[in-house]
Amino acid sequence: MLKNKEQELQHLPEHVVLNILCRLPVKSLIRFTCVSKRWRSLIISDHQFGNSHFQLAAAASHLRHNVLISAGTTPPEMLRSRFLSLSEEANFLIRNLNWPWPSESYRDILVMGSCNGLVVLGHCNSLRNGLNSLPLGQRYCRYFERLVIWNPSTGFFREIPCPNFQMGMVKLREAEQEREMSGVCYGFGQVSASDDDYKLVVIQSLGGFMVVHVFSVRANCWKIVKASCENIHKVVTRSFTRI
Amino acid sequence: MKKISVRTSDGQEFELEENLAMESATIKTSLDAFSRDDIILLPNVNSWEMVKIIEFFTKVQELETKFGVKFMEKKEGRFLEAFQAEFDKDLSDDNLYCLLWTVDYLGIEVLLENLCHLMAERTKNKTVESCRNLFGVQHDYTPEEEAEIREDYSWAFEGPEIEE
Repeated sequence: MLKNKEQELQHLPEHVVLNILCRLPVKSLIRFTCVSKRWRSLIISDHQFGNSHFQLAAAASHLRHNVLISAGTTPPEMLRSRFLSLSEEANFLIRNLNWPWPSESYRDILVMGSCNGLVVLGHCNSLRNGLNSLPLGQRYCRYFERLVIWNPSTGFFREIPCPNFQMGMVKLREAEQEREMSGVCYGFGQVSASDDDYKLVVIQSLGGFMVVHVFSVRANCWKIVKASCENIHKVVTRSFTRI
Repeated sequence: MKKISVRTSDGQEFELEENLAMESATIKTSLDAFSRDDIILLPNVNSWEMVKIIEFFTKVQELETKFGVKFMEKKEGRFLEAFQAEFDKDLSDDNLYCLLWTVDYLGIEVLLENLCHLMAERTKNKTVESCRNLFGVQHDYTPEEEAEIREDYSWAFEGPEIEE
């Protein structure tokens, strides 16, 4: 193997390049998507790469903790984005994040769960005239129109197919107060660390039944599991703990 | 301990202890195919690289004795740090690149892992151009395409830690 500058160096095989890349921090990786189209494709789309990177970073305790700030449904004017990041890697400066639906009303966006740096966002249908126009005690329905899996660190996201999950709501008091009646509960995570797949679980209560919808990210499809449950409140918590 | 003889591309001969030689999957395959008394030819390996590889294994033995840890079986933090510090000296980026290629060719897993770690440390704060040069990657973006990425992710291109 020659190392004179005049002579042509043999290129490193791709698996070695990947071995090096998956040890790099996210900031460097994003920058290096500019190196070439092949590197960009490896860094962004290669599933194996994403996994190796996360596992190595976690094992080496280099995984920096970032805080995702959800600025609430009516953020103050000074905040230009619904979501912001507080990150050790960026010297704790607060950074506005690029997120999937910047033009949508913030009220309609729900954070449905997160795991390993991925966040699931749901976009609900808009209330046509807002809550103010509904009489107190009136029942109405909201449902999800779109779902997305989003990586706040890189800004990349992927829309996933969205079945019709209805949430029954009742307006209890003034404009800002609302409550779910027939519940929809959801969670996102990995079933086990060794399972190379993420699942989004949405549970609907319909009368005496629970309908459990499970989405597999790897298979990109939904499965339905029916179960009967007499008292949904005993079983369901708002979000599932990640493993 | 039986010694295995190898000859590098520039004609130099080295005698390796058998257990060291067997760490290389490539040499091991040759040994299985031929007699152990024959000299193994390594036309893709330069003598300075072989010196470095022998240095690595000598260091491993030294540090194993000092820390009482089996390096091959368990990756000990202090051990790795001590090793990295030693190995990092006198090795330019280009030489490290060459050594990576050779160690991959020889199939020495444990050394490859360490060198990848070293290379990652050296690469992480590089600019895009510097990275392209080091890895010999062809620039295939149009100026417009590259400018778009730089604008969308400007935060990744800024920072005091990024080398000129």
